[in-house]
Amino acid sequence: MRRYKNIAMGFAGLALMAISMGASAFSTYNVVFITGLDASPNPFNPDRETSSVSVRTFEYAEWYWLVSSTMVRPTVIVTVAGRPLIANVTAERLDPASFFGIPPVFFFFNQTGEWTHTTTWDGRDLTGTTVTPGPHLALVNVYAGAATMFQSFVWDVQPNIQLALTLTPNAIMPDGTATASVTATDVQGNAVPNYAVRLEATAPQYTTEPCADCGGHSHDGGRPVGRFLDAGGADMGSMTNGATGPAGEALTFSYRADAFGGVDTLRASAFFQPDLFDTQRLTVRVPNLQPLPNSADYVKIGGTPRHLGPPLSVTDNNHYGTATLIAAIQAISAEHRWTFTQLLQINDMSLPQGGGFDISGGWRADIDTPGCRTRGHCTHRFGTNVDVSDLTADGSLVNLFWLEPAVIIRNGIFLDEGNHFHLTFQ
Amino acid sequence: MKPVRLLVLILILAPIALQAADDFEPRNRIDVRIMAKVSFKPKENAFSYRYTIANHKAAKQSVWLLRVSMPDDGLVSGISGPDGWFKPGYTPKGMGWNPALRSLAFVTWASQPPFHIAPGQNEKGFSFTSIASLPGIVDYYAEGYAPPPKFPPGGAPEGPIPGYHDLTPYGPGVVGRTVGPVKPPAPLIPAVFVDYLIGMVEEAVRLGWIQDKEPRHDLLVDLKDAKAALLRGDTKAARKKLKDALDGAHAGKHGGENGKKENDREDRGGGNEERSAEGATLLHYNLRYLIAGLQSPDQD
Repeated sequence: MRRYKNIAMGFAGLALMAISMGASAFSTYNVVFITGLDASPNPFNPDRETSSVSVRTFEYAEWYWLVSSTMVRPTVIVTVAGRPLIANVTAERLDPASFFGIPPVFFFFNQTGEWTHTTTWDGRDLTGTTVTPGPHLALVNVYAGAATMFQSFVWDVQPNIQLALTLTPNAIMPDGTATASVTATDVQGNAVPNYAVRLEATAPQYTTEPCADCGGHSHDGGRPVGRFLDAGGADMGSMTNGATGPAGEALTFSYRADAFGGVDTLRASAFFQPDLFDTQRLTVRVPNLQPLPNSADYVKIGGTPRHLGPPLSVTDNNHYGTATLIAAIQAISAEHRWTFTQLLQINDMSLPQGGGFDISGGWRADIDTPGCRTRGHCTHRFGTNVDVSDLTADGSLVNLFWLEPAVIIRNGIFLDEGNHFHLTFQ
Repeated sequence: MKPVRLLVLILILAPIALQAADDFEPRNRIDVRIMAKVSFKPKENAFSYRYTIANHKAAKQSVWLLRVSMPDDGLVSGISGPDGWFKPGYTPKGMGWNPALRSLAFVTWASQPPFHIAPGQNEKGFSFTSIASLPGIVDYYAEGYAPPPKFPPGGAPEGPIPGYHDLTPYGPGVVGRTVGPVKPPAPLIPAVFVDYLIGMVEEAVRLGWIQDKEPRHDLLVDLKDAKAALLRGDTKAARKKLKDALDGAHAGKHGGENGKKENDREDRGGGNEERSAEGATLLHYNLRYLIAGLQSPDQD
C-alpha cells in the first residue's frame, strides 16, 4: 500500500511539474521582425491611383512543454501624414515553421510564423486633403503580444504636377546671365509648395556638320556649359537642386552662360520623378552679328577645320561681325581697291554667334589668359574685330600709312599683329 | 647654370620683358600749334576754314595726322589737304570705341613719309568749307608718328590699350582747341546767345586768344549790358551794346597780335572778311550773327 502511495506521489509530482512547465509556456517570450517592406507604386499619383505597402513580419515564440498554443497574429499600423492606416492582413502564416517536418505544435522548443500585411494609402491626410506633393515619411509599427518593431520608409506623393521652366531672357551674351524660374502647379492650377526640382544645363556636342546649335565650332572636346548661381551668387555648378517656396513661389536661379556662343539646353525635372520635366533653349550669342558678304573688293580667308570658312570651306563661320565692322571693312576694301587696284585679304572676324573664338579648338584653354595671349583671338568675340592680312591678294604689302588712317577716320583701332593687322570698330 | 641662379635671372628679366611687351611709344611727342583762319564767302553763304600746323623744333616726332572735331554732323564739305596728305576724310558722329568720339564728327588728314611735318616745320593747306554754321571753339587732335603697337599674331588685347589709346579721349596723340564750325543755337534766343558769347569769351581768354585785360573787361561789360537790355526788352539798347563790342573787335582790340594784323589787312580791302586770330574771328562772326538776328523796329 505504501508502495502505491509512493507511486501516486511520484505521478502527482510529475503532474505538478507538467503544470508548472505548462504555466511557464504561457509566460514565454516572443519577438517580431520586419523582414520586408515594399510600397508600390512609389512614387504614386493620388489623382489617379492609390499606393499599397506590403509589410512582411517574422515572429519567433519560445516555450518549454507540450502546451498547444497559436501564434499571436501581429498587428501592423502604418502612420503617414498624421493618418494611421490599419494594415489589412491578406495572408496569415505564410509558412508555419516546422522542425524536420514535424509540426511545431508537437514540438516543445519554439514556434515561428511569417506574415504579410498590406494596406493602401490614397495620398490624403486626415481631413481628406491631398498632401503636399513630395516625399512623406511613413512609419510602420508592428505589435505582436508584448513584442514590437518599427521601421520607416519614404512614401512619395506625386499628383498631376505641371513643371514650367521660364528663362528671362531666352537669349544672352556669352558670359551673360539669365534668370531660370521653375514653377510647379497641380491640376487645379495651384502653385505647389516645397516641390523638389533638379535643374540641369547641357550644351550640344559636335558630331557632324551642320551643327546648328554649335555656334560655328566644328570641333568637339566638351563644349563648356554655363553655371547656376544661387541668390548670393555662389556657383552651384551646371546641375543643382532646389524646391519651390513654402507658398509655392517659383524656384529661381541665375544662370551664367559660358564664354562661347551656341545654344544651351536647360532642363527642370521633378527631383523624385525625373520623367516629369520641362526644357528650354537658351541662345548664347552676341546679338545682331551679320555675315560679311562675298565681294569683289576683298578676299575672305582664315577658315580651318575647327571653324569652317573660306578658302577651306564654302561654309563661312569665321566672318561674322557687327554692322559697323562690316560697313568699315566694305568701305576700306572698296577704297583700297579703287586706290591700289588690289584686294585686301580679310581674315578672322567672329563666329556666327560670337563668343570665344578658340582658334586651336581647345575651348577654355584657348581663350583664358594666358592661353589667349599665346593662342590668340582674345578679341574676336563680339564681332568688332577683324584681322587683315599684311599682304594683298596678289602678294603685295599693304600700305600701312594708307590703312591706318583709313581705320582712324572711322574711329577704329589699328594694331599690328606681326603677319597681319588687327582692326577694331566699335 | 645652377637652378638658384637661373631663378634669380628669371626674376630679374621677367618684369623687364613684360614691361617691354606692354610699353608702346605714345604719339604725343610733338609740340604742335594750330592756327586757324576763317573767312566768310557771302556768295556761297559759307565759311572757309584753313589751318596751319607748326611742329616746334623741340618735338621728338613728326606730325602725321590731324583731326578737327565738331559737335554736329553735316557741317563740312570740300575737304582738302596739302600735298602728301592724301587721306582727308570726314567721320560722322556715332562711331568709335570711346563715347567722347561717338559724340563728335571729325575731319581727318593723314600723311605718309616724307610728308610728315618734321620738328621745326610747318604745313598749311588743311581746309574745308562749312555752311549752316558759325565759328566756335572745338578740339583738334594731332598725332606724331610712332609705329602702331605690335603684338604676336592673335595677341592683341580687347579694345583700346589702357595707358595708350586713352592718353586723350581721341587716342595716343595730343589734343588742343581751335576754331571750327558749330551749329548756331536754334531757335535763336538773344539773351541765351549772349550767355553763349560770354562763355566763349571766357574760354578764349583762358586759351590766350584774348590777352589784354582792359579790352576783355570792356567786352564783357558790353555783353552783360546787352543781356540786361534784352532781358528788359530794350532791343535797341542791346543792339547798341553789341555793336560797341563788334566795333571793339573790328578795331583789333580783342584779337591779340595776329588778330590785329589780319584785321588791318581785311580793313585795307579784299572780297572776303577775314580774321585769323581765333579770338577776333569768334567775336566778329558771332556778334554779327546775333546783331542780324535781333528784331528791332529801328533796325539799321
